[in-house]
Amino acid sequence: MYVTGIGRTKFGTLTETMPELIYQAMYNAINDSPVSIEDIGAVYVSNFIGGPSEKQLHLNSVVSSLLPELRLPIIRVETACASGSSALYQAIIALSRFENVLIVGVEKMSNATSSECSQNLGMAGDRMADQMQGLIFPAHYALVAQQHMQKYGTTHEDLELVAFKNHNNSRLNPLAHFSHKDVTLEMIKNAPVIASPLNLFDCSPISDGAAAVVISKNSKSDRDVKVTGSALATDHISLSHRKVHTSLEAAKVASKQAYELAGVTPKDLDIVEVHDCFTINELVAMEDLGICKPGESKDWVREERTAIKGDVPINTDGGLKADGHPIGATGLAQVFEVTTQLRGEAGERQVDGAEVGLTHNIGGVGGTAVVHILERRG
Amino acid sequence: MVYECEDCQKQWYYNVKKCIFCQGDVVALAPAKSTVRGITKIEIPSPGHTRVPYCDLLLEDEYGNFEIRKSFSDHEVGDMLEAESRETKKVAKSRTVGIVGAGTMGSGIAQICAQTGYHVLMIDRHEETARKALIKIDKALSKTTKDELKQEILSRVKATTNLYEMEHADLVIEVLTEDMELKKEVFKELDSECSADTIFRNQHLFSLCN
Repeated sequence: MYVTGIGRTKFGTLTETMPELIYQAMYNAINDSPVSIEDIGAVYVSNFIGGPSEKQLHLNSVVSSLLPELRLPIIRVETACASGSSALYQAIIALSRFENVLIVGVEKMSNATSSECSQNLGMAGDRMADQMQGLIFPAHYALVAQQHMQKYGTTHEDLELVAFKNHNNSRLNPLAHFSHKDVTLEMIKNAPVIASPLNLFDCSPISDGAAAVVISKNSKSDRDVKVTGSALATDHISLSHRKVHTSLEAAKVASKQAYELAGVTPKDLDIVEVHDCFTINELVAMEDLGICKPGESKDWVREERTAIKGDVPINTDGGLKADGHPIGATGLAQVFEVTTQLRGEAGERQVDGAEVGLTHNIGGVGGTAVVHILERRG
Repeated sequence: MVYECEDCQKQWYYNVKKCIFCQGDVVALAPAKSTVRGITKIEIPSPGHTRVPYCDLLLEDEYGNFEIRKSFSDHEVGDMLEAESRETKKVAKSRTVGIVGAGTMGSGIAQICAQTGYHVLMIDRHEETARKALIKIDKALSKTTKDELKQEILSRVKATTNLYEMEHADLVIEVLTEDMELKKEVFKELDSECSADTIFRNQHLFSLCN
């Protein structure tokens, strides 16, 4: 199976409505693909908080309104922040029935106040165990960071390096939320604390945006990228329901399955997009994906081994931290970046000779993990 | 709260009652103490959590299970805390909840209050209804609770027909049928029996202002 088309909007605080964002992303993906909209057999639409934020559910029908008279089978997928990759995972399964499937992910977040947003995002945590205790999402990952620091000696300076790298990468990505923003280590270090030990620059922003991907059973052009691994795993919704708090078991399980399906190992990876909703999760992801051993991610970051010119470039588009995190679109934006890199079309941020890429998309604090492996068409 | 299958020891964080793997009974584990393993101090307010800063503690109990607990107190990693249910029970032990009406709703509320640790006075005009309510609570507890704990909970529930016993109640919950005249009569009596500090709660549709 192949990625035969990709499209997205700019991420950030945007004036467009949710349907307009969906349409823009779909239009760009179809425009990028040899597959026409009439050749699409089904659509999966991913979104997380359209209900509480925009008072808009039944999104599959909204997508149908945007594709007049096609009356396609369209299904909405929601697995919190992993919704985009989960929709792709489902779409890949649907290729057993259809030749071409379109996946579009969207989130419109900027219309809600930050307090409302915090509450809406909190719905990815357990109602009783997390939400009732005031465990907002930065606090979930603050506890992970604190446990990681206690166990491995990771420091806040290491997290600052992750934010700094991703902000620098986003300067090379014109579609990124913070493509315009120069960020210094000083700014990162002195940002206000949100949930100790995490400060504002450890957190991904509230972004609007959409991304879309066309996948096909058979290759359509030499720009296609092969999908060789697709795996989804789940775990307890609350961090407190688990015994280990320095790694996400679902991500380990999903990546192991994806590597086996693709017949590759972490050593083969040339470009990786990980779910850095909070900076600590980039470090945890590196360890869960087997890119480095547990506790060693801090050393990799200190040695700049994850920079665009490093051993394993991570989040070349700026990641969730600086490209933005419009929840339902995020997983598909990761596929957009890896596909762009594998096609050799990433411009200033191009990773030389990228052949194998991986996306790592997490729902909540690891309640869902989806890993995809993509390879340049040989 | 963690619930464990008595047969295969699988655990849940929800009161599932029966094990889906082996069909065994699932009962609540009641930890006594927890150790602080992690702390984060939250500086930004969110709906329902407007007073900041507050801490969220990652606690580990003696069974090796974890929970998140919100706290406005300062703690350090390694501190030992009593289980929240015990802390609640400490307060509850000194309080009595009066329930007027021992029907389905009354007995249900009585059960929850007693499980939390409150002393419960359940009052009904009909002795038979009051007696049946106790049996109902006994049966309900038997499905989810070990016998020793069940007896402890039941020991906190007293069923009576004497309204004057409400003088001991700190909180009175009225769950009578929707009969305004009856309610007025009962509240008038309660007003003379209960202390000035007693809180009254009407569980049905009529407003107390009526």
